[in-house]
Amino acid sequence: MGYRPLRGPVSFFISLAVFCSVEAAELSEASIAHRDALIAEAVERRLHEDPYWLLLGHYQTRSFGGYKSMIDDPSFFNAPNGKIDPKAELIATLSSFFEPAAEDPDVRHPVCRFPARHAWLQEQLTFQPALIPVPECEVFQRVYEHLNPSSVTLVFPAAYMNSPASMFGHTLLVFDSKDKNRLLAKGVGYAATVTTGFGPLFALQGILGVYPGRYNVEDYFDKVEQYNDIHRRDIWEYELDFSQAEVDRMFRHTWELQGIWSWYYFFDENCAYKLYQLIDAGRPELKLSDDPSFIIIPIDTVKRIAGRNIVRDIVFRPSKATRMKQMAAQLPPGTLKRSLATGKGRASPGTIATDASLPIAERRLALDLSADYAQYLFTESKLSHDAYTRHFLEILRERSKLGPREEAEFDVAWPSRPEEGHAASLLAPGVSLENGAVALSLSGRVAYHGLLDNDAGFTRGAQILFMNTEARWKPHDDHVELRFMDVVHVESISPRDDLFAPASWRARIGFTQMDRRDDQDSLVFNVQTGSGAAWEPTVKHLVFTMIEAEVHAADRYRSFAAGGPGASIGWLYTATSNVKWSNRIRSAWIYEGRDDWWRAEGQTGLDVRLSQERSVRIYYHYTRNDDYSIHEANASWNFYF
Amino acid sequence: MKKFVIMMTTAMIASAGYSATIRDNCGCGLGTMALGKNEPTVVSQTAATFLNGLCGNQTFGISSGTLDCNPAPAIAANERVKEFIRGNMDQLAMDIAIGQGESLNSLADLMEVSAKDRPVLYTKLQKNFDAIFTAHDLSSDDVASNLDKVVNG
Repeated sequence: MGYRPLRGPVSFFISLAVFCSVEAAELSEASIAHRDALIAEAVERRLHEDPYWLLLGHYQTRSFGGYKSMIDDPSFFNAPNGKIDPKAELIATLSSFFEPAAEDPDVRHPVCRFPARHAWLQEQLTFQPALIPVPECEVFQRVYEHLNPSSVTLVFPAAYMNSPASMFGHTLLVFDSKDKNRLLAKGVGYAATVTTGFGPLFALQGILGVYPGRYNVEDYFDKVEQYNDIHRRDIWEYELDFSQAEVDRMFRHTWELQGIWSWYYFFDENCAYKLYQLIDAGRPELKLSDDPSFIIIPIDTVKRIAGRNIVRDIVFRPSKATRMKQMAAQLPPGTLKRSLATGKGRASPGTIATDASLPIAERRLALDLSADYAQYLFTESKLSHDAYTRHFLEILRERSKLGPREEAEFDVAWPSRPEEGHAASLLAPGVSLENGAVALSLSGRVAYHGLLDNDAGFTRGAQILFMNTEARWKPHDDHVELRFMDVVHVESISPRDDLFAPASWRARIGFTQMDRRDDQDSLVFNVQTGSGAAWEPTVKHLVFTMIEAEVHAADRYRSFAAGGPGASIGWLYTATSNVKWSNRIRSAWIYEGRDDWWRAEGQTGLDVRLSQERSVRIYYHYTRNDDYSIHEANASWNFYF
Repeated sequence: MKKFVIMMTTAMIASAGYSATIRDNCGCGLGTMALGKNEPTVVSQTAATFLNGLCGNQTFGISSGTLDCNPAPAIAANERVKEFIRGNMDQLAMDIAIGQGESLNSLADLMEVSAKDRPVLYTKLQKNFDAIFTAHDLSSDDVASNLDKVVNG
């Protein structure tokens, strides 16, 4: 399991003898013979082709035979060609165990740098401890005892308000300490080290593997603060049913990977995939890293683990924002206003604390909310550091005089679980009626979640679509038409309330048909943006309005481009957990050279979920471009995959 | 001779710089948690969206404020308590004022307080909130020693 210093007088003398002989910088003949015997046995038994050895080295088979490790950092390998030769790496690793301890105490012995390899080889072969100078791996031992890992948890921070991209989520693994609160555990994640900014180049470089990626270990309470409090993300924790031996194997392999870098490939060698390899190191039968998908999304990790029945316990850790919203919902409007004013520093907390006309439980809740709200304002830089520390302390001071909560800790209701969500890609065959002409339609997208898709596992009002496309074939004149192809279509409809006042927004970039009365090709390159506000009059209704702008580019336009301002209002109604109804009216004034024309759109759509990956959708769109009207009706069958 | 002087000067400047940045008694106080980024803009969301979103905000370079504190790993129990307070001061203050919370439970874990002793401890801490958090700008080490006085004094 771990590394323990040799105990007892006999072993002390043996170790002394070994140490002395090692200090002479020479191995005894017996040691050399033992080393060679071990190597010979390992090679004969083809241990270098054992799946676990290949897993520890992160080797993948190559198309034309042979292996190549996904790790790029040379210090991960003992052999100079270790990256492409698992056999050479095995031999070099075994040899390295026989190396004498370095003079410099900061240089770690290979046995201490590669505890997972050492432990596995020790299980497979018969090491004779007397002949191998096993050093005391002091740092490893100290950290292991300090952390005392007893179980492993997969952590999934979910999306946060006004950031549709965050719906992709993130994954990290936490080593829970025995008998200690999870906040005191260490979290392991894999991330790219990005030194340049976030411009468009970042995207390209991320795909091409320009950035180095590393496993990072951090205090879990720091990650919770970062995700839960500042980024206001709910966190889901899935505790795996690993045995102590499996946890130890994972821990040792994680130790081996500290500080080791590899080129970060955005789609398939990313934070999600690299955690598969850590989990497999604990329980290789899982074979999570055999995933052949081209793109691996963090939610996939959760779905695969939840689907394999290896979860012992699930914990939902609501974000500060979620808790604040639920607290606010429990306060009467007058008290809520006072509570928020107190958080801003505009009212004294003492007036709430000493207000006998309010029940004490309500006063407690109001001040709890004030404190959280003050913290939120500070993290949004709406309160200065000095103002925050003063208000915060004053509120807490008053709160401490009101005693503990009498009722059971206020339980936050769980939202739908992330693993209940539909898959990222969509294919939808259907039937259309376009100005009276029947057509067969096929639509689909690469990823991820649309406004009308069922919201189980996702955020309502958040949309992020990549390569959203619809094409129609009209059998009458055997004509295939691309209706639209949006490279990116993002919408963030976030309702405003007493606590938060986000700006809703949208952006759409792609190609779309601007059908006109003439015979010219009406496919244009189209960029639309919008910004506005949304409200949630009741929990089932979301209404929103936006000011928009759009630009088209096409050969048909005299000066190649056209565009103008517009506005829209929309209504999203979640009738039941399976039925959603979306409506939108949009109007825009388009300037094209010296001409201008008016465009109006009316859209209504209904989606009925049949199962996690199937739904039925019907929509009706009315579009009027200048003097030409298009009526489209469509019924389609959605396959998510 | 010239090389030696240059080397020594560089070494002295470098070490002076080093000791200035690593403070011994850190004095990190309230509000040293990371600040959030401003609301994401349309441009930042769409331009880098997929790629940035796909694995979370891996690069915001959050400076938690505790990075400039003494980074040596805490070994002794009371050092671990101090380290925890340093990284969780705001949440601890809240939990102590309310009389319950996960950070407070973690602190009790570190202080090795048994489950049956906790309700009494939490009530005591809540009653003595003012004695623990004496000023808005006190350091986490002050909190640690105040806690010590309240619990053991």
